[in-house]
Amino acid sequence: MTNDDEVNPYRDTFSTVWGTSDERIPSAAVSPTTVEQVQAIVRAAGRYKIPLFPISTGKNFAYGGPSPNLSGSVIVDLKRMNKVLEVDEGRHFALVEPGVSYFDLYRYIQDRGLKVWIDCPDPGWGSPVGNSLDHGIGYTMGYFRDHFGAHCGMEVVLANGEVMRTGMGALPNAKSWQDFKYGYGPDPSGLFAQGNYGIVTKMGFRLMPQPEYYRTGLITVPKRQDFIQLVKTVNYMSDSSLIGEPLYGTPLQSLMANTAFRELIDKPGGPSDAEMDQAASDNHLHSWSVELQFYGPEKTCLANWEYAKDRFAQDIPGAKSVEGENLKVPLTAEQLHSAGGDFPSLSRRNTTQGVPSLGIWKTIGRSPGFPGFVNTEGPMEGHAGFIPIIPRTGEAVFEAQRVFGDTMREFDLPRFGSAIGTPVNWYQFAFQMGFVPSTSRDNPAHNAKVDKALRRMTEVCAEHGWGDYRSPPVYQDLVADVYSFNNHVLRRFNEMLKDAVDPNGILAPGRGGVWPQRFRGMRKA
Amino acid sequence: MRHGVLILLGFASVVIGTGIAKRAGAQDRQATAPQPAQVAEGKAVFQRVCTPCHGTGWGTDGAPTLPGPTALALKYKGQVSPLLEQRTDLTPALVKAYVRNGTGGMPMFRKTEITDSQIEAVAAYFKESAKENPYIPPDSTPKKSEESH
Repeated sequence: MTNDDEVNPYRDTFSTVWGTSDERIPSAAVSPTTVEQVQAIVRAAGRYKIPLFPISTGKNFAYGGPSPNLSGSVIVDLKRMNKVLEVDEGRHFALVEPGVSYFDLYRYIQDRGLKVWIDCPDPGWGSPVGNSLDHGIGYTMGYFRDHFGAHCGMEVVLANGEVMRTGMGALPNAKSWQDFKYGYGPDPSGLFAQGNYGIVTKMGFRLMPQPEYYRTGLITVPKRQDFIQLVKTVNYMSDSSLIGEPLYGTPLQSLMANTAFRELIDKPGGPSDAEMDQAASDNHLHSWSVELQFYGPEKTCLANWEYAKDRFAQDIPGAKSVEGENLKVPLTAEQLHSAGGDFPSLSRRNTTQGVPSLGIWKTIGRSPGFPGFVNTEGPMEGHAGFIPIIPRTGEAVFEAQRVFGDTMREFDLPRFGSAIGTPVNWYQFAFQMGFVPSTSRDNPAHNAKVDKALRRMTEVCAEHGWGDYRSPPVYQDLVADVYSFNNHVLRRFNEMLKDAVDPNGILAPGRGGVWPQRFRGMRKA
Repeated sequence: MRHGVLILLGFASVVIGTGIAKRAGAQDRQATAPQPAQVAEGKAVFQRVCTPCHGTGWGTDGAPTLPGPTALALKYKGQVSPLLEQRTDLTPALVKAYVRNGTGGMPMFRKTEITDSQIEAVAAYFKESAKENPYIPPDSTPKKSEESH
């Protein structure tokens, strides 16, 4: 595909550099249907030294869409390799090709009545292969939320056209490719995530057994500093596999219509604990909340919730618990539509149940009551994502609130970061705090401001030891550059490997900040 | 060099996108009546590819409708149906223009996601579905006095 109407949809419509000389634009696209065709493409590209950029399916919005790191690259669009090769209900795994979307895999499972769950991102039009290879996340139990962590076995076409299988897949007679990801010896599978050492053509994933019940409950705590112990206790429950994704929030959100309160939480350097506690007590509100989600047999879900209520009451004076829902799985259409219980849930119900959806797209474009991406310059149809990893502690969250808030003060953009900002716990063992500003193809001046802010945030967060986990191509050099321990030895090691396995530098040059020798001068950081 | 050319092409497509309906209308004058097989294919493609955003029924997380109808209801304010299956103006060229260029929150879709012939089939399906389930604008509801006669 070389015509502009064919190539144009491989641009990143959410790009902060849309329509500028910095935008990364491919020259053509090819769409193989078999592994043999992928091999032929790679061999031809090697012969003529043509840079390739493989994509699977989905949109990858806020993280670069389908756009390559190097303009002029040929997209290898794997959408037409779309077979679900196997789903094992007894051993809880799936083996899929890159063009299989979360919707496809969900339908396959539902059509056969299999009692396994996928863990899907939101929106669900992406693919297990593409999402996991960009370190995407989901919303059920911790092990499954880390989509790359939950992969098990992959098949890869290398830069020389050879087909390699990882883990037990390297043993020709093995029947356990999706059961034991390591096989024997060094496991290179991590190189293919956010990397450019091969084109993944098959990938296995562990699946969660369909739980019998789903239960929710809310814990609230009165004081600002209670957040520190709240996180510790949640961490204990999470790492003991008693709960799914904890959803942190604050009852103080209800005060956002109050100008004095907004000024307090945006105070330079952050408000004092006493000021925040006074605001909470004046309004008869608790300072923090966490919504807990339980999956499993009805009795164990109940027992875990009962344990949680006792444990939080014991750990944090004044902690309160609020009953949520106790639902038999699978949920009815009504139950799936909207969360119930005695508190307003922060969950997006579809994703808590492994049901792919595009419902969250209500946050994009026109939508009543969702001003998130509408600012003073009008509606914005895109956004950028800078969501760095921070430690899973209350102290780190307080520090990030101050740093985000004070840094954002430099920019004329809607605020991200205040004294009531809460973390996401997508990855079980880490927190992330988000800076997700809007973008628009029609507003280059706004995009330029966002671009400047993203660069500044990357720099400031790195000074505090926080680095981004996923980034569009235009920022990948910058993000990789802050992972600079010992004179960038990690990047130098990755590039040594790159030059060894891809001497012509044809596979996704620049992806993850890894440039082959031939294009190393293209590095922007 | 290629980069620069493509940037210009990209700008061109955006400009074209603003005149989507006009261009598409001219291209559709030769349209022929849809065949049943094409309509059936269009329905299947629509249900698989489009309904996660443009389907009927609930949205998620308490939203009354999915994002597509929600956005189109705000855009057209009831003058045309927020449901694509009730639209009589969605010619193959117009559907293709929106699918390939995107609009607002709707992204561009690649040929590997939906082919040109599948787009034509979807447009054929719209033509039939709009006949079967026509849209009645809110302000055209018969008044009580008219109903009684």
